[in-house]
Amino acid sequence: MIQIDELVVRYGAVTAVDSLSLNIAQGARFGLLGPNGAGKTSTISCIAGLLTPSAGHIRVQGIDVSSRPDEVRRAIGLVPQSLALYPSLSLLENLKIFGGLMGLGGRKLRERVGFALELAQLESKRDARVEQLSGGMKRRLNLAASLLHEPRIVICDEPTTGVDPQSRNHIFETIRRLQQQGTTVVYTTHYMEEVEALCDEVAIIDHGQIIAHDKLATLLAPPTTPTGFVMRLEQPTDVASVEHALAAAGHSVACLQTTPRTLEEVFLELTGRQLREAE
Amino acid sequence: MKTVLWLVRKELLQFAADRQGAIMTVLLPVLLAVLLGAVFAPRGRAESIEMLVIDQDGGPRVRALVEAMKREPTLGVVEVSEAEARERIEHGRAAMALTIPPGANAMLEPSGLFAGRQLDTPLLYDPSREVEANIATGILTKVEMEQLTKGFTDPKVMGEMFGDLQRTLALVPEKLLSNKASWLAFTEAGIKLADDASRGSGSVAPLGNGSSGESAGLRPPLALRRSALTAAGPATGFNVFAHNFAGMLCMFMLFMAQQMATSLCEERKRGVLDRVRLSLARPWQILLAMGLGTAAVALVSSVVVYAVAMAFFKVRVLGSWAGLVLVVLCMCIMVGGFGLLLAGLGRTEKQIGNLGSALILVMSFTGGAWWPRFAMPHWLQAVCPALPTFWATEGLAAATWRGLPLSSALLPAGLLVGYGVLFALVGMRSFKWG
Repeated sequence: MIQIDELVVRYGAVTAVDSLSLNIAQGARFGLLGPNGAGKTSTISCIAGLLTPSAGHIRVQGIDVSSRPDEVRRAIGLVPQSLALYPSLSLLENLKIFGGLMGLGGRKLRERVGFALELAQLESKRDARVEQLSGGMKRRLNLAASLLHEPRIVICDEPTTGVDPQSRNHIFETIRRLQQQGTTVVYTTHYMEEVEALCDEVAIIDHGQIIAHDKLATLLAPPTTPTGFVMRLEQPTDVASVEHALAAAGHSVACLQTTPRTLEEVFLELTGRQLREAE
Repeated sequence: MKTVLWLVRKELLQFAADRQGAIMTVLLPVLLAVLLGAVFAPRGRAESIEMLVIDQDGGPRVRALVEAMKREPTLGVVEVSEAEARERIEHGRAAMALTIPPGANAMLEPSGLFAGRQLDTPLLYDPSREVEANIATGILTKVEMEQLTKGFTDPKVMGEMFGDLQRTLALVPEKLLSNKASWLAFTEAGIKLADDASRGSGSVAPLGNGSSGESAGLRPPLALRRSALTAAGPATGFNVFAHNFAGMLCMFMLFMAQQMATSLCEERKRGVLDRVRLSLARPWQILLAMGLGTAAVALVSSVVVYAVAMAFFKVRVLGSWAGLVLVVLCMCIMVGGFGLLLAGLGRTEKQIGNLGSALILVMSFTGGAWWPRFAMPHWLQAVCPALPTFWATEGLAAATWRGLPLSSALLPAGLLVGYGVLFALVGMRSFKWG
């Protein structure tokens, strides 16, 4: 559980986070949305203990972040937006170092490194240098490296930036698996469809303040007298027939469009959902 | 052509955008040019060569010679005991020492030039300062000759002078000069002396070598015998590489520290440092590890460089192996601290590059890593001990070619650790995590 109480972050004269309060329950599938400069990264950095707040308090699993940072770090896994890996070292060396820094050692470290490689589906590349990997592979490793110490809370900061659809799909599946295991996932992104796919609770932040916070279904609930509908006919037909039928029922149609398939649907249908190793 | 101009404009704008880099591009060459000029430019006022003098005779002619040496503007004469002179040369605190042995006073008579004998007069010098010893030898010979020839005239002239006097006396009636015979005998003796001096007979040694009849010329009675001195005895272990390897190792270890600081800056930019900060490592531990890592790499470099120096360039440890190890270890600590200093003061890779290059080049130049300190002007020599590079090269010299014991490594080692700790503290306090 994450409790944020009256959080303030200032950079000189600029207030990035302005008295923000937020509770995220254990096991939540939480989406944090906001435009650039809204205060998302500052908030996440404070939760992870990377940034000291100007005011306010944050408790993670009931532990105050500022007073017992080590316990909070054991509980949190942050998947950064940047590829936070040592490019000139091998995958194995990277994972061993980050696992070792989280206090893992011996057999446990070997197990967790093996798990991470398997999770990222990069076992065959274990001895390759990170700089030799494709963008998608690096993203998967970036995620796996954050899970080495089995954190109860995973914070993902735009983890799919610049990845191919297969890797993106793989990252989604990994996050869903974590959610199924009861891990709290806080997900920030610019891609609304990712939040819709992965989260059931959403907060929208702007100018350092929460401007909306609710269940995804509630936020997306249609008005009581909607003017827009999505229909799927059981039998194929043309647009004119549908328009005629609606007019016959006494409804004046302002706009009627067919629903195209998304390019991603077409792409995945053509290329399959299997991850590509030889990129 | 317009395309090229647009690209040139872009280059200029980028250059100007990095103000610190632009300033350093101008400042660094100016700074180095000034320093180089200070070493190589003709100096308006000659700077003296320090020479220690041990007067073991104490006679009036020797004292006159020493006083004449003191008046010589190119020599800085300091009279010391023999023990002090040796100690100062062995520790690199003096360039040379002249020992004037007993019996020198008798040899310093004008006729000593014709005596054909020379007195062995040791000139001990620091082997790294042979150039100064060579210059001083010439100056000493000049001073000695000037002293000897004071009031001295050419034997021929002297003979002619006595001949004229004899002829004049012969014309004087005896009644006017009661002791005429004695005066004539005196002039005869003078003629004979001058004659002997020209021919080299009697008590005066022949001026020629006897066989060929060629003149050997005038010989200063004190024959300077130069010999290099280190604490290990005759300086058989010194070669120019001993200094060069120490200096270049020191400089490139600092460049390596700059590279490590740049890497840390890149890690900060890529977010790797944030991932490390999210681990159980404390911030001070992260920075300390960076410093220790730099020191460890420096240690490996040192071992390899000295192995090459010893295997292929005959650099030898004539002093203390323990002293060498101690100085190298402390030098590595200093280098680790220097890396942290750069990482703390430089916010970007460019800043670290500019700042690092400036500091390293100036410290190496001024600290004696490029060439021995004596080649620098005195004001620059006075600045040297304020720099860690000076103590690094001094410490390595003490343990290797100077042949000094472990105790001589303690001061350089202590100061290098002090510099390392100071650099590290400043760097850690200045470091920006975000």
